[in-house]
Amino acid sequence: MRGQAHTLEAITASLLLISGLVFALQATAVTPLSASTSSQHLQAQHQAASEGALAATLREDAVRWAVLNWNDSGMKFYGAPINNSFYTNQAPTNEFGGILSRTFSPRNIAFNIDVVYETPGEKRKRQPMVYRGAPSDTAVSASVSVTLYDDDPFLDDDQARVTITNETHTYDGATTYKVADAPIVPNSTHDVHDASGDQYTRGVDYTIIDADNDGKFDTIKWIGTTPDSGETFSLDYTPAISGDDFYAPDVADGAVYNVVTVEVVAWNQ
Amino acid sequence: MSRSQTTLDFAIGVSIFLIVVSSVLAFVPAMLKPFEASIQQETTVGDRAAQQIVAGMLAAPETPYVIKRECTVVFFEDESADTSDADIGENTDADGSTSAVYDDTVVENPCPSVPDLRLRDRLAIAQPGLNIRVSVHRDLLNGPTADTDTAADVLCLNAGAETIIEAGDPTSGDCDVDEGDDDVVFAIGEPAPTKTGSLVVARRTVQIRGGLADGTADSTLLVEVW
Repeated sequence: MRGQAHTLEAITASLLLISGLVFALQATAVTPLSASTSSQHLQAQHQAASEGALAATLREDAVRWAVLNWNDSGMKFYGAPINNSFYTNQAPTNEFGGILSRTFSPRNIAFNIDVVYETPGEKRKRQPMVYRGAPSDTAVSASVSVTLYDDDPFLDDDQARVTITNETHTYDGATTYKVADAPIVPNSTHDVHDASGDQYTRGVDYTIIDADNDGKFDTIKWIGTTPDSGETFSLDYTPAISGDDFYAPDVADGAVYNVVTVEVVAWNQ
Repeated sequence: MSRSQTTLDFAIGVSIFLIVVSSVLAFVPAMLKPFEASIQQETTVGDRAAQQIVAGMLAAPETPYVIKRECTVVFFEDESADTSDADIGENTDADGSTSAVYDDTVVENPCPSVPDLRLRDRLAIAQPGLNIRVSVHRDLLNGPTADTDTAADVLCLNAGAETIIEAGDPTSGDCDVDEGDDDVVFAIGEPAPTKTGSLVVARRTVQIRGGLADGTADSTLLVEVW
């Protein structure tokens, strides 16, 4: 009546049991729908939510507003924190951000938004719009393309075109004066008046020309009644996007400025 | 000098052996877990039904996730009063009158893409043990049409003003299914069980053409399967 008496017997028996278990483990299967944090069902839901939200923003033209919602003097998106050009802790303060935060925030899904634009060397670069950390392994992404044109203006927080008002120049006899924030959206100049209150009409007293032959309007040229010599005149106009004060450069010679892709990456927090 | 096994060796050996035996016995049930009955069927059905509704039935095929107003109302019409078929397009409640916009005697078949069948047949759910519920949720922004909390509520079509508002209590207020103005609550199917083993939820973000009462248009369509 001796059971296991020697230590060596015990160790051998344990090894046999463990190798049997390991062999059986190789044979079992874990299906894609097994319960785990990286479940395929959850990823499919996030993917569908991202696509649905982007379809909603595309129809409302909210994506175009978010892409053009760039503060050209601060070189950042409107409402972004001081040190960055992009949002970090919150969604953008426009309708695009509103739709995305209504879709994702109640379910604790974090998201990053990147704007991918082309550069003249046929490479693509990214401008982050929202960065809330590195995505997890189970992140999903959806994207939508927006075409930008040469005469697109900057848009502010109310989806209104950003207008320069009362920019003053001194009339010194020259016929052409380049505006400070070239290029201009065509036919967007108005309220041109001088210090004595005379109003001037586009097409009659002045016209807008492209002085440096780059295909964009940037200079006011007097063709009719002019202000008195030495008098200052002021005008309002809407600046158009250009390579110097927008994150994307002008890559096409025609009316198209750039084609950007807005990419949303979402993951469970 | 020969020494056989001491008591200490015996103790070490037995303890190793017993530990290994107990852990292997404890591990075997976990190893068999992938083979037991799971919620795979509910998950697949819910996902398929949600995609079918959002990309095929309520929306035009070239613009998925953007659902048409008439189709949404036709889909969620109350079918509890009639047991033979869905009578979609009539939008009747207790008083027998119909809302003009969605009345099929006025507009012939306002939404051809929603079949005139009961919900389970519409979504091709043949398994008798499966239950399904479809609803549209949203927490409306500020204004008189929204309630004061920030929880998403079922939406409802206020037929008198033709606006989509939060349902709140469906027996009083602007959304009243018992009143005579044919309000439609955007929820259809069995009421979700409060105690259940497994309830699978499939969500889709949709945009309702024509917008909601607060000016926005996005909302969440929920398909619950259990």
